[in-house]
Amino acid sequence: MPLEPKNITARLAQRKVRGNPPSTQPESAISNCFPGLEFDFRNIWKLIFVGVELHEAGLTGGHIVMDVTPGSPAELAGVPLFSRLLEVAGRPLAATRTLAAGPTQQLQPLSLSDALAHILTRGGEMVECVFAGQGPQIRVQLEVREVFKDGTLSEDLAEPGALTQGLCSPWQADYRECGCYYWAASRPDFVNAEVNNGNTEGHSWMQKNRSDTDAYEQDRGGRAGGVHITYSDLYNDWENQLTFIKNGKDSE
Amino acid sequence: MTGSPRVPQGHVFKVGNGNRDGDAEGNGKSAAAYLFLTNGSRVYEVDDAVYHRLSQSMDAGDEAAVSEQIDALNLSAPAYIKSQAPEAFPVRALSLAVAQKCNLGCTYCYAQGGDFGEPSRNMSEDKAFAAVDQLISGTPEGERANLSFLGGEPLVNRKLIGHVTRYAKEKAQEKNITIGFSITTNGTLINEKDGEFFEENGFAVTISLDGLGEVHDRQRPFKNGKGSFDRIIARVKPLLAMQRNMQVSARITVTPANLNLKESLDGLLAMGFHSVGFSPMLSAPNGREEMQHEDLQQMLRSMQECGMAFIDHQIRGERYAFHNMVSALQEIHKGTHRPYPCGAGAGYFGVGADGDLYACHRFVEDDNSLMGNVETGVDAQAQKEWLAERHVDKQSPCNGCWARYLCGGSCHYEVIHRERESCDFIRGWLDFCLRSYVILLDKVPDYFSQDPVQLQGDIQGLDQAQIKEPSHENPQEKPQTSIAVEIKMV
Repeated sequence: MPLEPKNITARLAQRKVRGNPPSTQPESAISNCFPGLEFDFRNIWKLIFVGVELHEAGLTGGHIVMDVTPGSPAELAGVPLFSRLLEVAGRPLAATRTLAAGPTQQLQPLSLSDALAHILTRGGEMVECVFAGQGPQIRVQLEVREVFKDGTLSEDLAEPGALTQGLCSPWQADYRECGCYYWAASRPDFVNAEVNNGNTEGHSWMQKNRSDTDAYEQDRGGRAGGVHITYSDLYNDWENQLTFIKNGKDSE
Repeated sequence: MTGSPRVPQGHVFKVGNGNRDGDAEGNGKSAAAYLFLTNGSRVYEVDDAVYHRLSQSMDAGDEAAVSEQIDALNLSAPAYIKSQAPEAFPVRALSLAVAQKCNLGCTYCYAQGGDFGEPSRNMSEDKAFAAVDQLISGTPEGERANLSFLGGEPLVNRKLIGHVTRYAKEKAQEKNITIGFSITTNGTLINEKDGEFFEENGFAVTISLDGLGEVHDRQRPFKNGKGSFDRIIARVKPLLAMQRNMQVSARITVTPANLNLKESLDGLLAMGFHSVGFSPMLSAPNGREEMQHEDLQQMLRSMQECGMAFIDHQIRGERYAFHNMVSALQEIHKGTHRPYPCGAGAGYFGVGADGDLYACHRFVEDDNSLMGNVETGVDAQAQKEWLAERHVDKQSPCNGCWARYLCGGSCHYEVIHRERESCDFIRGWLDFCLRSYVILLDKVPDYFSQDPVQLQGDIQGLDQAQIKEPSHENPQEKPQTSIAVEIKMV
């Protein structure tokens, strides 16, 4: 007979991630986690270096310093608030883009999960970090935090609840904002599809009129009214604007 | 039953047809084996092989082997209870000794006839209002606070109770605080108007009764020696019939002279008390009626008798409000783990008639546990020292005991005044309750129907562990909800 947890603490401990709800576990996630519905994996990297707090996204390309601990090596080196982390242990946090036509010189920030994978196992070590200062770049040795402690995420890195900060708001702007078709599992973007004479006909998931006689209308963004559901429609009236989709078809 | 602490990491037990050792012929095969882990108060069902290995290592006191086996089961976890004591704690519950005087002459009274050995007096309205101000200002908006009226006999100062209740309600409303009220009374002065007032304000009313008829009268006579039982029951009866919003419970102090608990429990429940709870008399200022080791063993047997009746009733789907059992089962189900036995000196203080704050109602007039006053609030340094000193991991022999985070180290007052006399009793009771828990979970699963996720907030360590949400229970229990306290409060 296997080990069976009986009371609540035992049952919760079985979930391994104390302090976070079961939906924060990767095995129970239904889709991506960037930022996602279940947890926001980017928050893992916020405190990966002792003495600075990072934010992954941002209009200037991300990897921004949100806080510097007083007295830390980062402060002593003069790392300014809102500066960008450019390089860690000799590797840049951005890569050049390659388009269909071939490589370009344009720099594209990498997600920290990609860019910092090489230091994941270097907890407790010092690594050289390069920050963009107001003047010359700032180089400073920063300590890498351990990611795991006692078989679970280190609380120094992510306190209970940290992973569920900053999730998507599915019934608001994020519903139509998401660039990666996050909702595919529960919300197909092409609905009421029928194959007709070798062509597939159907409706856009954001299209307002979706009767048999309505043709497909390409979604043109959420601000203009009329043909497609707008941001405003979702804020004010999502209950009526959205229908359940069953087997790929609108249901009443 | 479970005499020695054996190892600090946990405890194993079997439930069903069979004993701990089982045998090769398959006797005991239907018995299920369980592991209670001290860290996080986790309960697991385990297989026989695991049980036997653990049981042997525990009997041998081999802590290293026990740790290895827990590791091998993948059940090791970071410490649920931090060894570092908190430095401060907001006040969430106060009890007011509104009258340090009493008309009864109970043999064992911790307040020495109600006056705590000082000139008898009432609390003034100024002091009581200042206490309410402290309570409300310390409680964040939208949260809960609790105010209890104690004595002496609090109803000697009935007028003040009315004024303070109204004042506290107003103040609480201004901050959107849910305030709970409770009173512990000897019942000799209570009347129907009091009942209406308690009903209107949702009081948890606790009547101190030590048994039925003469059994009670021997321990709780009037100062002139006359028995008080008949008068109390005559006065309390209308309240029992009245209770909707209020709850009227009975609290029995157990001495060597009233050890037939089942009779008292059944008798009082039949009268209509909302619940009945027991506390052993462990430390009296005059040393009278204190329970000795043998008495406690007898009490444990008596509690178990009541506990079995409780299980039978649950299986039949009948109410049987044996308070100690109800509370212990809930705590085991939630996996309550705490570094203190109660909220005394943390979120709960007893206020003396002069407005001084003490670690709890039992320490009133004890200068060694003076912790501020209602004008200036809690003395931060005194509280910090108290919390550091009273942490269960700092107590010996608690730090070697598997029951320490359920028990919390036993009532501060009793430990300070009489050492730890009741450890075997507490462990025996907890062992019994753990067994009862797995039986009920199996036979009446609906009894524990709360959603684990909703309860999660309660078990994330110290903050919530020390102070539970006030509910309609005995005043002492609001800040003091550990199982050990449930069976020990006087």
